[in-house]
Amino acid sequence: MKAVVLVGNPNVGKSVLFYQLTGNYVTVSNYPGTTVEVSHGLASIEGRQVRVYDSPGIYSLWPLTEEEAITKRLLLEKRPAVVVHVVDAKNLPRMLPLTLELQACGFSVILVLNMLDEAKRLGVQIKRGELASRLGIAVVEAAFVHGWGVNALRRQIAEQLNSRLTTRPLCQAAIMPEQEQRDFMASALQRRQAAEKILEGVYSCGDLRREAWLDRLTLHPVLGLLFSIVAIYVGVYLLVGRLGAGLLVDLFDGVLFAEIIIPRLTAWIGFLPWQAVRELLAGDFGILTMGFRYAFGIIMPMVGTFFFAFAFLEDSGYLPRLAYWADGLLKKIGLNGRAIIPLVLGFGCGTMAVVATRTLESRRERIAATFLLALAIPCSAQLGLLLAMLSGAPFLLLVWCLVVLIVFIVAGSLLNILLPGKRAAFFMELPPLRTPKLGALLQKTLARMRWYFMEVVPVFVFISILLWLLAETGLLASLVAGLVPLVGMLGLPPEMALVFLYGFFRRDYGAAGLFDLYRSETLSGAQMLVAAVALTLFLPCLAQLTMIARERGVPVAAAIVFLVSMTAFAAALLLRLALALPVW
Amino acid sequence: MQKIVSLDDCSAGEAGKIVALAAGDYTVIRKLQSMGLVPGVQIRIIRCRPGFLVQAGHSKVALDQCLASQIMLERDG
Repeated sequence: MKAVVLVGNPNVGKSVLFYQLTGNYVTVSNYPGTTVEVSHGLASIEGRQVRVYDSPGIYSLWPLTEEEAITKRLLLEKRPAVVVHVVDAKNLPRMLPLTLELQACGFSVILVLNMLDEAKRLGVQIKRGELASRLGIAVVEAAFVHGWGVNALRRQIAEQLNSRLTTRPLCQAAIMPEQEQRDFMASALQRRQAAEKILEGVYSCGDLRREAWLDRLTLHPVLGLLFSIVAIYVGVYLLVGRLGAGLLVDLFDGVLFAEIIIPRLTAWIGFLPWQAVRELLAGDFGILTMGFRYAFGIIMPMVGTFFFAFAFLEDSGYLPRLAYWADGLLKKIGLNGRAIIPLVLGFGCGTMAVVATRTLESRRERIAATFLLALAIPCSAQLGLLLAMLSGAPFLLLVWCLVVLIVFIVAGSLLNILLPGKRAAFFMELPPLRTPKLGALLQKTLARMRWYFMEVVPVFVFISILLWLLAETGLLASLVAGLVPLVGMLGLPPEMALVFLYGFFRRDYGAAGLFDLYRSETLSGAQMLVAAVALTLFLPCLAQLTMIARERGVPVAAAIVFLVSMTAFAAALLLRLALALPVW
Repeated sequence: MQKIVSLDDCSAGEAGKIVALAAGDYTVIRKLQSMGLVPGVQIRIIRCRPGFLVQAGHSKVALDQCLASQIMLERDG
């Protein structure tokens, strides 16, 4: 089957095009031997089946990052019949050199001028016909978010597939890694000059100073900061905390599972003669009553709303602005503005956020961000429950926020000193703000949720089985008994031991256990504060830990587990001692 | 007034043409190049705080001081 590879800078609309070509039959898989994910799917182009690959964003065929290297390998190994180079039309002068580079390598290229609507609003004019004849390739005008240009592109792909010219020999030398850097720089300069010449009289850049009011607002020093706070408040607190963790969890878990599914299931399973099997399926730690219920009753509504909010922030082009604002602050703890994206994601789901640390440049930064995510960023599940508990006592909420923030800053500063290496420089393109399209948001949310469930459901089933085994063998009771003295040192009742243990398996389950204790009024205000802090800082959930081990390797994961539990215990102990001081 | 200065010596609102990249590190040059910041390109400085924000063509690029100090600019006017 012939292959079509979509190539281009990051954020030019490749993925939107990919979904429009392939529909929903998409496979996302790691590129062999790497952690970079490449999506591919089947598309039917005028009756012919082709395999379409969505490559990681590149700026040039001379790779700088692992992702760029993958795109290059993809181009070499899949021998695509057609390479579709997607560019942001208004930035054509900057992106055209890559088209020339692709042509120079012998690929049959189709150039797509995407986001043409936006370019036209800015007064950019491009003579498509003239450009196509100067380049000698097909040029397609498009605005994929509106669905424009997809059919024209299909026709062009079909034409290329039918033409004999598609089997031109690949000029491998042009994309060899051994190539001298000096040569590359020289040829890059030549290509830039060539691109400039081609664009003479074909591209006019229009009004460079035009800026939407929202653009100005979000970049204003004071208003911009206020806007960030409001955006996070609405996105994280209202949408995820209140709607997702509150209303929807009540509906799914409280009504659907607790009142409808589980009673029926228990009655139905009651026919089974073996107690142990009944327990395994529908007991306290049952696969169905705990594993599936957590996955679909509690996690699905929260992660779903979060992914939606995040997709909105992402598609609006707002996140790079947040990174710009946060750069100065994050520099102080050895990270840079780029790290704000995984950290904000962490407020939704730590597991997902660990994957997002891949976008950070150096290993040092990836480790620091992973550590801080595990330690001091509560996920939406925890946040929802902790906010519900502490919002009745604003003072406790304030102290909790302060303590977690201090731990975050101190841990970050220490990592900055201790981790070897230099911090990476910060640079990022700020795309214009756009109004996200509901369809695209839903598509993204669904795709991520599907990925999430593939990762998480097996883990949940495994945890259920493990807990069931521990409970059946009596090991669970001894584990809890082992934790009781530690919990006692923090001035907490023995019930908290079980809460912490659960908290490791699922962060939110720990918070849920705490919530139970709070409702039964077993805890005093001070105890609740200590427990909330300890639980927030305590180990990430097992799903997140699995991901840390996968992304950072087992030794780093083990070090993180050790340091995080020590820090959590020390911070909680200090807080307890501070609260016991006679000044209160 | 000095005509050729590094970008981090400029203030918001100024414009000029990039004349050289003073980076010793090849990867830094590649990064700047990928953002369209190469010699010959006309840029405008939008903000200097909290970080540098420059416009080149239709794209806005945020840079920290370290990168900004490696871009040599010929001021307009």
